[in-house]
Amino acid sequence: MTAASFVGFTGQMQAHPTSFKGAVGVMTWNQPFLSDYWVTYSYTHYAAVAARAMRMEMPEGEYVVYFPQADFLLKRWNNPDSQANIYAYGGAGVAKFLERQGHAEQVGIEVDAESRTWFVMGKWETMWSNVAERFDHGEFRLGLAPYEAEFSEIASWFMIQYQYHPSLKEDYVITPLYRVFYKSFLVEAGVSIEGDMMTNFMFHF
Amino acid sequence: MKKIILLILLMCSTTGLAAGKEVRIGVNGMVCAFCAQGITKKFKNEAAVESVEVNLGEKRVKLILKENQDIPDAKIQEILIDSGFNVTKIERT
Repeated sequence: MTAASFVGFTGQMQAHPTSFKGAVGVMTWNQPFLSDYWVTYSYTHYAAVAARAMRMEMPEGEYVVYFPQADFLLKRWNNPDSQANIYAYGGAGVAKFLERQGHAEQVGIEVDAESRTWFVMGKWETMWSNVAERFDHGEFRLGLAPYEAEFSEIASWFMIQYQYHPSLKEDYVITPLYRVFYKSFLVEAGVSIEGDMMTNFMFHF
Repeated sequence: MKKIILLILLMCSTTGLAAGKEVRIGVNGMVCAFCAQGITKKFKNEAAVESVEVNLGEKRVKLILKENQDIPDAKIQEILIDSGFNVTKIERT
């Protein structure tokens, strides 16, 4: 996979590190300065294996990593009108930065809570490599749904996302976005205050 | 004596099963249709299930069963736990 294949994709929404038992998930987050691709297989509802690729635009140039990843649902609260989750994940793989090849290791944690009308999420991940400086990535999201979508209806959400990644070209980014999903297909689109497009996709089957 | 033992075994084996065409299941945590798609997928794989209806507002899953078929409570619990949710009640009619 080359860096050019990432063109048009970048960004982050809250991931689904694990899904229902037996589910395969395909997720992409796309912004000009950050791309992230996940393919996950949940062998239980609380554990998954994933293949992940990332592209990051550092001030010195493009930084690309590929790695297998283990995802875990550490805790879930299933309430009558809400759900909350704590996920953790980590992986190690190959890194490429400024014509240098090496290795990278990454860990992350994600916490979310949602009802049918509100959503809040925070995450933090850190990646180390012998070819590039440490990559830290924090993210926070708030969302509101204008209506309570039923199971078979199209659901809509308005969200605002704050990202912090001091080693990238843009160290923090605020992006208002719109999320829509129907059945197993989810799309998000937004434009940051600085004018960067964001397009994200998620599919489970 | 053998007949009594067989009768007891038969009664035990049908615990959690009940005749009925419709099963209503109360579910906690089911707030997002995108996250609950696994429920319909897994129940539709069950031979006894004719159709599945998920209602987020009523926090319930309704199963319509095929004629003369049933699904044990334990299987219903297993499917919903594997889907990431908790069962609060199971009612059969």
